[in-house]
Amino acid sequence: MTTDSRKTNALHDDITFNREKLEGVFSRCGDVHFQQWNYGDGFAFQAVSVYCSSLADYSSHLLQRALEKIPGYESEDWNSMTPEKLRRCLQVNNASLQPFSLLESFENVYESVMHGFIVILFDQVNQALGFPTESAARRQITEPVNEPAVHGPREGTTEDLSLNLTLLRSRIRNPAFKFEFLQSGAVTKSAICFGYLDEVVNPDVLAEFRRRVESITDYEVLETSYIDDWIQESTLSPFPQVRYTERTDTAAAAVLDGKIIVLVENSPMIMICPAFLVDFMGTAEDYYVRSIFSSFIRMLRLLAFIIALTLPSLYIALSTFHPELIPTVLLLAIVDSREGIPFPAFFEALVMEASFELLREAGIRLPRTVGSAVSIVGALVIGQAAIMAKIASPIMVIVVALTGIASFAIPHYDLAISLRLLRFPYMIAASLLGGYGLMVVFLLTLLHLTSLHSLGEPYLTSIAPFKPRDWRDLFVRVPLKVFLRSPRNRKLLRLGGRRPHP
Amino acid sequence: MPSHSKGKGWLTACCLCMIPFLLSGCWDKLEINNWAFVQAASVDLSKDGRLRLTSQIYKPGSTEASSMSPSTGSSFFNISSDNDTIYGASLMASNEIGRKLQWSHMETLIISEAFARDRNIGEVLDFFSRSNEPKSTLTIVIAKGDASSHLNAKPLVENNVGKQLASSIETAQILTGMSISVSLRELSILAKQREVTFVLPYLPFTGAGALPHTPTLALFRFPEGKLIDIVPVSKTPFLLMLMNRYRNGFVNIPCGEDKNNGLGSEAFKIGSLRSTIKPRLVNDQLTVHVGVQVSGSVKELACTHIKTEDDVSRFTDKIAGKLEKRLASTAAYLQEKEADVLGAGAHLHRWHNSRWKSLQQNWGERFKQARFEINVHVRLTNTGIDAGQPFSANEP
Amino acid sequence: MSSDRSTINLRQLAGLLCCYVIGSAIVFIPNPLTAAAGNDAWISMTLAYGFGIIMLTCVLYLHNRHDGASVIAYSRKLIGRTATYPVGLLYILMLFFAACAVNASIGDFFTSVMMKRTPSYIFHTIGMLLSALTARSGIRVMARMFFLLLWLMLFFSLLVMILAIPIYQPAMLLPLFENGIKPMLHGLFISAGFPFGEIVIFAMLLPFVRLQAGQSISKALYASYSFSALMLIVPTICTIMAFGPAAGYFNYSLYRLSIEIHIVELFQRMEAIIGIALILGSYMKATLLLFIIYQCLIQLFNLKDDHVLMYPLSVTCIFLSATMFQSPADFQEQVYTIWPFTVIVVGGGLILLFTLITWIKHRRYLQAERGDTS
Repeated sequence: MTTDSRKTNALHDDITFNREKLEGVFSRCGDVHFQQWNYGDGFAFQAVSVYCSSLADYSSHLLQRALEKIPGYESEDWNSMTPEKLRRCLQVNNASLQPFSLLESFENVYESVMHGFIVILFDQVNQALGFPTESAARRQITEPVNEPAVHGPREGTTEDLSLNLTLLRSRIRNPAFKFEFLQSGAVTKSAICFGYLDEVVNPDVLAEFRRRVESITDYEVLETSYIDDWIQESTLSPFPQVRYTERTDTAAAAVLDGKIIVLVENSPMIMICPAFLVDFMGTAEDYYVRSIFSSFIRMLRLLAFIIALTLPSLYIALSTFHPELIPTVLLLAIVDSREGIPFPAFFEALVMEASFELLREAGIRLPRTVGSAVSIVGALVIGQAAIMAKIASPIMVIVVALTGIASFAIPHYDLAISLRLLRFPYMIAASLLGGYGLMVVFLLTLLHLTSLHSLGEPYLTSIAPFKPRDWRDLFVRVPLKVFLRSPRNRKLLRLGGRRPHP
Repeated sequence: MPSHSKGKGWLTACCLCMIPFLLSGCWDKLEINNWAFVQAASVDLSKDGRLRLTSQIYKPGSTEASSMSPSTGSSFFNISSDNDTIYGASLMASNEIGRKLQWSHMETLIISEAFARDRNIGEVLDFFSRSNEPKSTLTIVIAKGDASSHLNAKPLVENNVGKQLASSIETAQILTGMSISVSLRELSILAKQREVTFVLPYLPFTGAGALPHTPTLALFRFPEGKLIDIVPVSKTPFLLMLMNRYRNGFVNIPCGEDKNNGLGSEAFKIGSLRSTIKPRLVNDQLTVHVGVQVSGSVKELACTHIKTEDDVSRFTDKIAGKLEKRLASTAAYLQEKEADVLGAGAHLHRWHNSRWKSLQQNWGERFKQARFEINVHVRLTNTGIDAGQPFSANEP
Repeated sequence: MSSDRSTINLRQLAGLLCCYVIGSAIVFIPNPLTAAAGNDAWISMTLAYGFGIIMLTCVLYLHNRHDGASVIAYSRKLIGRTATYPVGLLYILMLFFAACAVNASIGDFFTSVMMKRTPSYIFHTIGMLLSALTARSGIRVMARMFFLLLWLMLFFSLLVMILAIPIYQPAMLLPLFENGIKPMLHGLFISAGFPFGEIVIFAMLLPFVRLQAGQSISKALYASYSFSALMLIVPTICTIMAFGPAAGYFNYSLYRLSIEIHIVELFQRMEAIIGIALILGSYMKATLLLFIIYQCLIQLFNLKDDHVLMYPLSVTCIFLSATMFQSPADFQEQVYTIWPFTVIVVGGGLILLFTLITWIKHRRYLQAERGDTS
């Protein structure tokens, strides 16, 4: 901004001019109100307060009390204030002016009003006072619906960025936990905040993240996933390259692990990056229950991963290309049940999978009251009636049901939907070339995963650059005593100013 | 951003990868209902000297629309086809049924005795060994009379005849020591040796018989692949003992000298039997030393009291004596047929290879002249949950 | 570190060596050896392993002496630029044969064993395309991926060998040297060519390793080579123990061994899974060979390294795989008679020549230094 335009943008002495200009900009904003009041001896001097009733709480008494402190500099009160005395108070800008902020330009006034400030303009004074008020009531802190836990904290993030930051700060009370702010969008001006633990986060990763995210300031960011779309390496990959959570304990654990978390105003989703494939197989709750049990659950999740990806295609491959692999008694039972079904195995699988997907989508969109009816109807339709109408065989229903259940058992929704997507190429490959086709798509998937990077780090960290030491937290969960001497814990101890154990 | 162009390249690559898939015509793909699953097969010699292949094929249950459970009645049908080769016969059978024959769930292969005596069974086995479909536990048996008649018999307890025969031979091998099951792999190994005699299970009854009889063994020789002789049922267990393939079985000891004097017999269960064959050349004559270690328990007592150490050793000596006598007569039978199924020749071939080269020319003759020294040692482990005296004994 | 596309660490190089040596051999060995040498096959293999160690020593010596330069680079130094062209072309022709033979063998395996009605060009095409895509992603991605696949392959082969224990008869390992020493020498000839002698081709991948302080490339490679040899000799012994005189009769020994496994109703008929796991090894070897051809070409003709050449190379290989072998007997002759000769004489001879020249030069250099100082 040149000095000229700054001059033209600066507040005038004349309150009428100021008020007219403000009313022009805020025209048709029905929630912006102008309140005129007078002060001084005989109420000779004018003042106007501007506020947006949707954002600011005008009825608060705090404003009143703060205003009364201002004349204290001149050892007077408002009944004897004059504009010159007021100018002197404002010039000195002493402690009695707290918590007001001094506004000099119209830009500042617009911004402050739109951020929930009450702005007071005075006649013959070319500065305005802005008073921050409490924000309007937002959603209460509740348990996140999509990440329920039996054991552990139930704090979920809300749409208010400062409240979210409060929740996070109260978990890691360390100056090394840095928050950096960005403002994006010319119109929305939404605040983006990313946080990391200094000296624990990988500096190359942080530099890469900064490099990618700085160009987002030109785009209107409405939700955290916009940033994900912006910084991810491969938009066509079915695999998610960042993780989302609404739980503050998960986010805090991720920060301690050296990850970067990103929050956006008006969105409760915290984005954790970089995310690797192995991160999607664990939850925070694994650390709150006994290690034996959570090891068992992790292995179950691995099984669920494999089943969700390959079970229908395995069935197709076995029944059409390799009938010798099925035990004789089961095979004859399958032959019995499939006699009379008009479709080949592939189309039968496709029809059943498609109906299951439709059912799933319908279940999300329906209101709560009708949702349970859908699940019962769905079971009836897909299960019993399809078999009786000879559209599907019982074994196919079992396969589809198991696949669906397995995909629900995967804790992270993003990975589950990517598996849902990948199932179909696997089924096509199995129907074309049987076991060989399965091997080919498996190799293609593995190739894709190995060459995928998340913020510069290989996506299959701990598996592909083979590090068996990391597996003790991957496929099993070893008791915490084992981690006491781990390099990560030693780094954290050093960061906190303590000497690590020998 | 460079990552997006890599993404584009990936899209093109994926499309290109899909094209060869779409071009493939699914040659090997066959719906599970387009297979004809063969449960058992039999090979006969037809009148004009060709092979007759009879396959027993599973017929899927009838489609009942109202029930969700698979139909309970399973059925089979037999189909015969004649050709010069097994493969040709199987294709002709596929022609008639309209579905391709699938051999991977075949339990039993029955070869008729007439075929085995006249033709080389290697002709039949070659097809099944060369194809990847048959399973490793395929049971191969030789049957008396018309092999396809066995497929028409009603199975006693199993679902189909193939499974019935396979499990009866399996049980005979494990429980009674009356037969052994020989796999395709063993036959392949045997067939690659220069000259070898071996045994195959033999069903000494036709399919149309009233009561099924115990399976026994038949002697074969490679490379001719023809049946030489059928081992008498009484000699079968002892033959298996000599081959060290005897797992479990029993020995009946008559109370008196003669088993028909009305005094009954006692049953001794053989829990484990191990025999070692040591062929030696003494002065250019082959001596085969057979040492047999037996351990078992008493299953039935009729007249013997087994209470003291002396009683036990008398009892076991009686059993050992009977075994030695029977083993000697079985060995004599083998020598008469010049059938070295014990593996004496193989033993010399392995351990004394240089000498074997000069011996193998007239091995049959040498085997016939060989001297057998048989030594049996029996150990009694327990007498069951009753004490060692017969049921009706009332002496203190 | 992660932005550096063209180096791998020592452990990954050792893994690649394992993949390369075990690769296609685990499916086909020991069938040609047992057909030629009978019960002496494992002795032939052990001696061929010794031959391979000698070759590996020469390769490592050259690598260390020339400070990690590639074969083409030090061949230029040793025998001159003009002589390197025919030598390099010979090398490349050898590589084409090897890559196409491996690719063709995958097709042969599937069409004879599992999917009999599918024409083999499908397997040639898809296999080569997969290899091209993988080779194109660079050696880092290949190394990472193959480490995982190697473990998968080893796990399945060990599983087969362990589950088949009930059918082993150790007595079938005897008699040794039944027909004298000639069958064993024949087996030695075959296995010195494939797979042990092919280490001379692997030399092209050594420049890609990036060592950290204190790491010794020799120790790692010797260990990995010995491990691969063990993983090839043990199946040979197991096959002989299981099949005896019929070991040379079955075409795909480990696959046939897996057919024989029957523990409970559940553990039978695993051979389809085993077949697919074993074929992963052939895929890895074909990919490595394709990558090496590419490296040879760009280094010999000083082309730009932008992976564009990979696709034309793979198309050439597809056509070659489809047309090189007229019949199984032709395949047997080319791969088990002509190829070992090529590897031993051409490949081994070249490496020995280079080693000799380097050694002589180094001695002259040392003598000159000693002459200077004395």
